[in-house]
Amino acid sequence: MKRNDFFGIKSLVGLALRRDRLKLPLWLVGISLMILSIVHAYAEFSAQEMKDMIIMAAANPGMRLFVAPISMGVIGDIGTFFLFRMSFIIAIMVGIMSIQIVVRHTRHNEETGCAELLSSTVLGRYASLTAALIVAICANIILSFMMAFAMIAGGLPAGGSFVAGFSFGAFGIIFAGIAAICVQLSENSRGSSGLASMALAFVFLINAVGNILGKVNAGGLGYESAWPVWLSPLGWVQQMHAYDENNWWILILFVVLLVPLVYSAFILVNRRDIGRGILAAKPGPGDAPKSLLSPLGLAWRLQRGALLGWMIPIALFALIFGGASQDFGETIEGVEMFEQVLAAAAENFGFMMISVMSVIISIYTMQSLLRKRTEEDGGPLEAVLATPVKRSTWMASHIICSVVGTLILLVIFALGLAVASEATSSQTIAYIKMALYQGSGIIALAGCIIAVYGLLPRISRTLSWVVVMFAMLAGPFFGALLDLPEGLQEISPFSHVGLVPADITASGIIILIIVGVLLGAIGMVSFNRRNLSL
Amino acid sequence: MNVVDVKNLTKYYGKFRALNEVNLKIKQGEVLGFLGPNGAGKTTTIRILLGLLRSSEGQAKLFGKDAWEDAVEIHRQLAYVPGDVHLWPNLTGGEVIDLFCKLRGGLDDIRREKLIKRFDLDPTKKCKTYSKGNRQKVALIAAFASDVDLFILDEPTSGLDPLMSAVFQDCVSKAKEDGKTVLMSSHILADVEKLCDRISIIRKGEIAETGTLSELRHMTQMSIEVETGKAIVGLEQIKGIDNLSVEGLKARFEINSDKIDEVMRHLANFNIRFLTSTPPTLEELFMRHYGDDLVDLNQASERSVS
Ligand SMILES: Nc1ncnc2c1ncn2[C@@H]1O[C@H](COP(=O)(O)OP(=O)(O)O)[C@@H](O)[C@H]1O
Ligand SMILES: [Mg+2]
Repeated sequence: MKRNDFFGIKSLVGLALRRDRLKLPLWLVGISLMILSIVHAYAEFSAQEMKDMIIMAAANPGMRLFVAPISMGVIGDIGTFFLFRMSFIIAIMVGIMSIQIVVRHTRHNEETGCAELLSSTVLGRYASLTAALIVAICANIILSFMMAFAMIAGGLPAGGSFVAGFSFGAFGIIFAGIAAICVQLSENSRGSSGLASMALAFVFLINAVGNILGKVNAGGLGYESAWPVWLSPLGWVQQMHAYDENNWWILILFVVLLVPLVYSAFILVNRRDIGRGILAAKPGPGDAPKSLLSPLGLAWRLQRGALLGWMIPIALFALIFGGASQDFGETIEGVEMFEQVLAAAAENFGFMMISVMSVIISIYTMQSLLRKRTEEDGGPLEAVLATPVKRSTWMASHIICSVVGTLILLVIFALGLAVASEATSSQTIAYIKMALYQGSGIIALAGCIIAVYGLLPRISRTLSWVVVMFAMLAGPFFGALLDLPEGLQEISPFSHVGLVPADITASGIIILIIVGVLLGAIGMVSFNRRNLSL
Repeated sequence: MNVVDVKNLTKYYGKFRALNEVNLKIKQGEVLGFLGPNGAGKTTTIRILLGLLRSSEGQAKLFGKDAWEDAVEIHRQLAYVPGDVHLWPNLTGGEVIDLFCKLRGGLDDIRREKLIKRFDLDPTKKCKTYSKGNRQKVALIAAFASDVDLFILDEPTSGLDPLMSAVFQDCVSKAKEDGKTVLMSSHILADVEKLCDRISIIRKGEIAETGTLSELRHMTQMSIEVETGKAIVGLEQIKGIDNLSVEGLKARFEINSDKIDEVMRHLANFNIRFLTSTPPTLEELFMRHYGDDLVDLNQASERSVS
């Protein structure tokens, strides 16, 4: 690395700040205001209410995915209760912000031709990446202070607020580092964001495993995490136990991880050409296999890569959670008040995991359905629809692949869970049934996404994300955590499936499927009648 | 019968009128050049013909069928090469060619191999590694390897080098010999004049002129620059010379191509040392023949420079 490899950083940082003069403040202020309003809302809870919620979460593996560990000495304290419920949502938002900043000022710059033009003249090789990292790191440091002030303004103690603020900021900085690597590995900015988001999901799930395996305190009040949380930066955030133990020293772990992340990103910069990923394209067959030569064959070929990319982590987590299910019973053993729920909790563990995972799999469904938009918007769809392929045939082919892919993922998860938990064959079948039932919620959501694509193609990407995020947040796992009004929670299809077999009704499932099919039909008809939006 | 029959076609994008009462006819076996500067509305017209966009008013028929309602049936008989060829990054060129031929009905292996060789394409490469010109080749090979009656080509030569342009011209000639109909758009006059039976000129969404090349002779004016051994005299007496300027041994002027022979004979008397002839750009032609706002525009930009 020579000094002039970094030449031009100043002007690039300036460019980035100018491009983001609206976006960045919106993120910072938005997150801070959200924190302030939630802390305010939590001040209303009585100690008994908090206690009940903590007990409920401790005994419920599905809930434990989304809440932080909490120790029993601090029951009734608003600060710890706030982090208990919100820490992972805040961490994920900060992570997404970091990913966006880094991708936008590296790959996205390259794709719009901006970076290429600049790097041939005055920019050093590492300038673009360094500038993006500087902007991301500074944004996270400023955000740390703003979050801390928001918590203090909400009436929480200053010391704990700074620990909490900086734990989230440090988490964001780690994800700037991870995104810096992802942008080198991927072929375009959408691929880079996807890869980095996957890393975010991974970090979340690893931490969740540790929390699920955590041992419940005597009396059922809170629980302590098991060792896997130390494998995840989200675990580090939660183990800082702000407002309680205030473990400042854990910040060192973030620094220790950041150095190799950034270092590898810089090494990878050297290995790739501007505008290309590091993984070089290999030549392929000169003729097409028969299986490709139809609209359905084509759609399958275009979608199978992403499906495979999802299958592997889904199978992996099925095995991990399946293994955990055998131990979950132990985590609440000996807690007197759980004696009677113990058996039920252990039995329902698998079903609960399937419900939770189906919410995550709906992200795959959305991405897969949005593939149609990629084909249309500056893609090859124009040429395909100039052949004798009907619009509805083309669309149906893609939708079939999306739905089948979704069902495959659900079944894989159920099977993995069954295998790893050494389930009996009747229980395995029950798991698979449960997974397919959960598919009905996803089908309703998919119908909505298809309708959006047919009616409003230009904003369909953003709108689909909004729809899915809403369905998740208003759904059974977050809706209760966020204290959303019942009416809002009712809109999410996931609120209607049922979390355990006892809650599932045939009419519920059928209605969800009918809603999905109707919405999908609306999308299909509008697509048939509209201009291509090229 | 007219293979393509467009009557009073109008298209609005929101409030912006991209096409205004466009009329277009192509007879069976004819090659029509669809000529117009960037943004004139060529691509819009073609996309309506293909049923990808809906017209706002007017009608577009191909093979006597409605372009929107009967799109699928019409597409059995045509091959389309978009102006901006987008392909699937992870499929190889060969796979894409096979796919499009199959979707259009059938694949002629021998013709496919021949075309791949002539266009000098490596069909085993992934599409993401192709340049714009190579992507265009893939689309052209897929089109000419298909057994169809009508070819619709949107600015087909814009990414090809001169050698490949020649191969492309061969392909169009061959298609014409076989009695196929061709619609090709371009913003460069020289591209279409070699191949086309008739030319339609579109500008700002309106058809400015339609005719055979000889009917549009006035469009084919050449700019000539010449340097001679002796001082040039008498050029001003030749009919059809425009914008003449003579400076000592150098002269510059514009001339209709049917007068070139006469001018050359005259110039030969002055011991020619150096001569270039360039076809005018479309913009220059429009300035000359339709004058008005383009001239205003140029003057405005000149004023702002000075
Ligand atoms: N989707 C669209 N929305 C709005 N305006 C458009 C759209 N597509 C094309 N236009 C406008 O319509 C006009 C004609 O465009 P086009 O048909 O692409 O021209 P050409 O192919 O002759 O270069 C241009 O002024 C262009 O800006
Ligand atoms: Mg065009």
